[in-house]
Amino acid sequence: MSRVIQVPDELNEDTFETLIGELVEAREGERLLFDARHVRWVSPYGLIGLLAAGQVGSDRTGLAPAIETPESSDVRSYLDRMDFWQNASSIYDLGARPTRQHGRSDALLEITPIRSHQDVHHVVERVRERAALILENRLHYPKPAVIQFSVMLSEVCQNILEHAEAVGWVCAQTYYWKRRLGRDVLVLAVMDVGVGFQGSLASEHARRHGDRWSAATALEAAFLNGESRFRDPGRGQGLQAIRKQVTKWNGEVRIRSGDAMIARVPDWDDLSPLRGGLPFFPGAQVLIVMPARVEEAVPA
Amino acid sequence: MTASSRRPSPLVSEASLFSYLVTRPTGRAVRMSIEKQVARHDGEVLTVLDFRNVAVIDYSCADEVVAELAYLAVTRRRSAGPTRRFVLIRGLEEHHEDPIDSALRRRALAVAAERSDGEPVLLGDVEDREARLWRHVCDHERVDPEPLDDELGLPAGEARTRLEELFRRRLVTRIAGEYISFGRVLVDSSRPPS
Repeated sequence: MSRVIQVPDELNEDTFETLIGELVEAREGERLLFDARHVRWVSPYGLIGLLAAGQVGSDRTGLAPAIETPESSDVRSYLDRMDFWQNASSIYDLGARPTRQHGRSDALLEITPIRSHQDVHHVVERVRERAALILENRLHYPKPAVIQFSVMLSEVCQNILEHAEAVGWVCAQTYYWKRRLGRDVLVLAVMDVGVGFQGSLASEHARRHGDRWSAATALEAAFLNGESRFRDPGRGQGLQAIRKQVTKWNGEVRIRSGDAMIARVPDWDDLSPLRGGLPFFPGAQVLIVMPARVEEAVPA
Repeated sequence: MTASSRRPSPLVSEASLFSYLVTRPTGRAVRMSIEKQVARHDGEVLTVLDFRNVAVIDYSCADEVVAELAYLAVTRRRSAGPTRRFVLIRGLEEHHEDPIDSALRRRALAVAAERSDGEPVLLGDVEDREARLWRHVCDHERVDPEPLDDELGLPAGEARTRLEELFRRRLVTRIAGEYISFGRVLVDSSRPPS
């Protein structure tokens, strides 16, 4: 038995929902084929979303899924430059696909697996120089933003290690958001397919919430109230700090976990701040968008 | 890390820190190394955390290093007097402040610090009047509580009560009835023994 999972033509944080909706039906013993031939554009969230979806497909069926390579040379080139295939090789059955040599990408951070705290160190130290160039020159952020971005990156990656109990991925890219914002943005995506917020916080908080306990209440507890699975009062600061910092930058942060999503919504988006009833997907998927600063008009 | 034992109390123990203070395990390793250094000494110890070369500190590391050390210093108060611990941050830059301040506030703790330009500042959970009195101690280096009531227009004995609270929170030290700023302790520790 095999099942074709159609990868949306534009794979981003919105169409990711369609992709994982198709995975719901996957059964043990089925061979999945991710058909990415018609993909014309992929966001950083979509990119690691394809890894996460492949991993979940593999976990559900017990078989490594196959994937059809995009026909678009631009998309293929982007996947190469972002180290997609290198990371996909442990998830998908890629056959005898040759590893292509490619130059350095212009991304802030290519897809990087997060398996240990050393990986977090590596990521934070690696992005510093590129983050300075992008944040200051392209997005016109003040100098301290580079350090604040590093801190945010560290905390969001540690979230995988502290709560997911599974491997995760991070990547970041800057591009021009023509339709939605008409400005450059920095997009940071972080995902894992681990226990998720509801599972992570359950032992400490589920009883108090009683029948209301769900992925949505777990996200509220962590994102809005800084609650953690640990009793230690020093825990749970990371997400609060990220929310505070992204708010200062008039950016967006959304966290999807289980069947719910919570967001800090800026004035330039009309996203619902809390949604439930989404297709179930394990772990946590985080998207952070930092828009370029707009110079305020100086009164004459 | 280096320590000098020229003066009987408190001894100054300087801790050099990594450039990238990120992740909890890193913070835990740094703190344990500092604790090990301090544990060699029986008397009062002022641990100086030198932030001059710290490029990045995240919230997790701020909690593991600074907040944990501050917590240990305060909760040690019921122990015998000679084992008192104090913490001072030096070389503080603006980008260090939020993670450290936030970590301390979550535990209702405070720490004395000195910005890179030498300006003393309290970080964490501190009331305005505590900060003002602490600043007074920093400016005068040594404070006798008796005349301070009149000087600050406080009811009799109130200055001592408030200074004692700063001492209890390990934001100043106390020697022979006087309350001493950490700046003074550093100056004294750098002098050759007479």
